[in-house]
Amino acid sequence: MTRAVATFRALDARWTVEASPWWVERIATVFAATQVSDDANEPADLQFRIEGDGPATLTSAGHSLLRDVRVAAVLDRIVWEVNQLAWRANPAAVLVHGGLVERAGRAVLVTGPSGVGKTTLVASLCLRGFGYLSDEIAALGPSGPTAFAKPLSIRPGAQARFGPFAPPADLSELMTSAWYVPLASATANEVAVVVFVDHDDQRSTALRRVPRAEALVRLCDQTPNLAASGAVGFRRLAAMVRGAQSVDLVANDLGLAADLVVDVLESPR
Amino acid sequence: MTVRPVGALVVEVLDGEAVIFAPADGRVHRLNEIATRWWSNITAGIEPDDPADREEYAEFVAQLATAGLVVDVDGRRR
Repeated sequence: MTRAVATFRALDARWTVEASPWWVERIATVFAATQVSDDANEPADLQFRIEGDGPATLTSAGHSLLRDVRVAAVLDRIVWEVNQLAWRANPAAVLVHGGLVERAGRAVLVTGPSGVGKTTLVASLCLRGFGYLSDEIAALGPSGPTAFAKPLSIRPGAQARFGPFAPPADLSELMTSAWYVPLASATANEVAVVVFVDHDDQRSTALRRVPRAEALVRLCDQTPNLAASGAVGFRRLAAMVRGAQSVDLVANDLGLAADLVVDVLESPR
Repeated sequence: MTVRPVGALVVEVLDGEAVIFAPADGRVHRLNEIATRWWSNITAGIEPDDPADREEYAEFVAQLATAGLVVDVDGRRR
């Protein structure tokens, strides 16, 4: 049986998938922004192997992860595993739990605890023409933000709002639990706005400026590798906050919320 | 009430408010503007002379002690 291999990056880590051409073509489409050329001399940090194009079995480095499951479950698991790989494989960068989008090289960092609507706001801003860097990890290196352009993940509850991101017919079978939207990877020179987002149906969409010291403390809360980053990481976060505008945003009306973010980005510091 | 910081703390002052980071365990603590004024006294191990200042200073030290960021000069955790 013909097999194929494709290689991808997750920040500083590399991962590969070995499977049938049917699978590899689809994985390569979904993770297009992170695909790199195969280099046999550079070992992969994670090696997936998929058997079967109907019910499928997923293994990693010989360990069984899933056995005889729907193809959508395989993709869900790969997306999850790649996220975990990125979190643990980039010690040089400060990793903030949040999304990053940009306009003209100036990034907006969207952060907050799980479930507050980070990805939803990121998706809204991308529909407004913002460039995409990540919806999961804002990686802040010594020279600025680094893209981790994994596919944008849109959960079923939010899909009705994002019709333009619906998967094409040949990928729909793979995306029954979430849409994984392959967006091109953008670049940014600096973080200009930090948004602490909260989605709350009971409150009106509104924006509030956040004092810089408060912003720094809250960003630290969303930085799982802060202790490992040490003083260098803390100072990098502080420098970013010093040069950015930080806001609390209740994003109930997504259109208005996106307008408010654009206003902050375009306003003088 | 002379105290010193626990370990090597990192301090960033943003718009007059200090944020203290303890690299040893990753804890972060935000000080208000009044407290920030007394941080240099802590690092220098100097108590203010003025009794009115001492009261304010004591509140600051209590704040830091509650956060576990200072110890007595003899090394006891306050």
